[in-house]
Amino acid sequence: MEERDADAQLMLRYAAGDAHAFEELYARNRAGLWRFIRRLVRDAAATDDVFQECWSRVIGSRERYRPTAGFTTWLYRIAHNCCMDHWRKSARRAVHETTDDDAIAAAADEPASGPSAIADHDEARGRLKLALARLPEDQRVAFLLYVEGGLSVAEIAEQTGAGVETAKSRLRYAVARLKEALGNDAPLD
Amino acid sequence: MDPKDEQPFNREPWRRLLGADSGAPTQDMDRRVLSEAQRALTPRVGRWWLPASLAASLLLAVLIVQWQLADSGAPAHVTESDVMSAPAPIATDEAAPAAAMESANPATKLPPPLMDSPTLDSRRASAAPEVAQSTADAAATAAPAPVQEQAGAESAVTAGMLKEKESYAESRTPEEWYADIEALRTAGRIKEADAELARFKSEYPGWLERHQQQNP
Repeated sequence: MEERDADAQLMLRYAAGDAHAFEELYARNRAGLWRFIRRLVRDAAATDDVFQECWSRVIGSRERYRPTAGFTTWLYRIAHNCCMDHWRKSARRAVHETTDDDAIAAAADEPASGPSAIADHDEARGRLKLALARLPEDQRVAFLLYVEGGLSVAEIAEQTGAGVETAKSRLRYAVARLKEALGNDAPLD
Repeated sequence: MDPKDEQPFNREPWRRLLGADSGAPTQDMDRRVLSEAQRALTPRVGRWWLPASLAASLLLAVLIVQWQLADSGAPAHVTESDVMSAPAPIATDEAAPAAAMESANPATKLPPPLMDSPTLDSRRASAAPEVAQSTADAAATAAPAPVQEQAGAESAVTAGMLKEKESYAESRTPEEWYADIEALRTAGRIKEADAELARFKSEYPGWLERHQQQNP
């Protein structure tokens, strides 16, 4: 929670004109946000576009930002909205569940991953990426918002327009599938 | 909300597993985002400074113009008393006052109303001692005009008006002069009225007594 407060304070300082605060804020969130977007849009070029659009919206909204919710929650909401806009524009969100072939191709397209990575010492991570790519989109979004974005179940429900129980259920199914894919390498709760 | 609802499972191990090698934005992307953030702050400064600097320039220009007008003795600092201080006609003929009394028609020879603004009033108030002194020094030359306490533009007090006032003071009849003195007294400018009256008496000895006899 302190981390969240620190981010919120940095955002407020940036809104007040402190450019260095933004640099720090960006450094703290760039990698997580990029991964989140990368795993949702699953296209390298699109990831860059959505990532930049997301930060542009953050910058443009700086004067309207109020620390009522955690900064990360706000940031990942914006990111999720940017992803949905991207899907709408590219009209690729016709199906909610990706086929195994699509998911494998997308996971293989990720940096430092793919079949060779799976065969390496990083096999568990590779399997996780594949399993994540195979998840139904609603479950993947819920899982990523929870893990990468740090959103609570209620915040995920609000962001995705679902009920709290639905959001909780999606998370539960997502974790079950990922654990199944990872076997003994799955993290313990 | 139930805390259990917020932590259905521990997210940290999953985050570590996902995040270790999943890539990151390029340095070029970092530069683009950071420069955009920097640029976004720049216009705010511009928005604030541009109108402020314009306003400051305008104010400075106005102050310089006013200062120059004041320095050159132009109307900006001319008080009403100064305007009214003008040489009175020198009576060379003893019969002139009487003749003038008969022919003069004060109503048609009133000077144009002096345009007074609040600014001018405040200046008059601050310059009151100076005005009194200048009036006394004026000795036999100063002549008051009816005070028209009307709001108006300060620019109306021009050099042209000054000349008009001077010519009026020189050409007015004893009746007009006396009426001006009374107007000064009515306006509460007693000292000026007394000074004017003294000058009037020296210019037209005995006229006032005759006038009072005729108009008790």
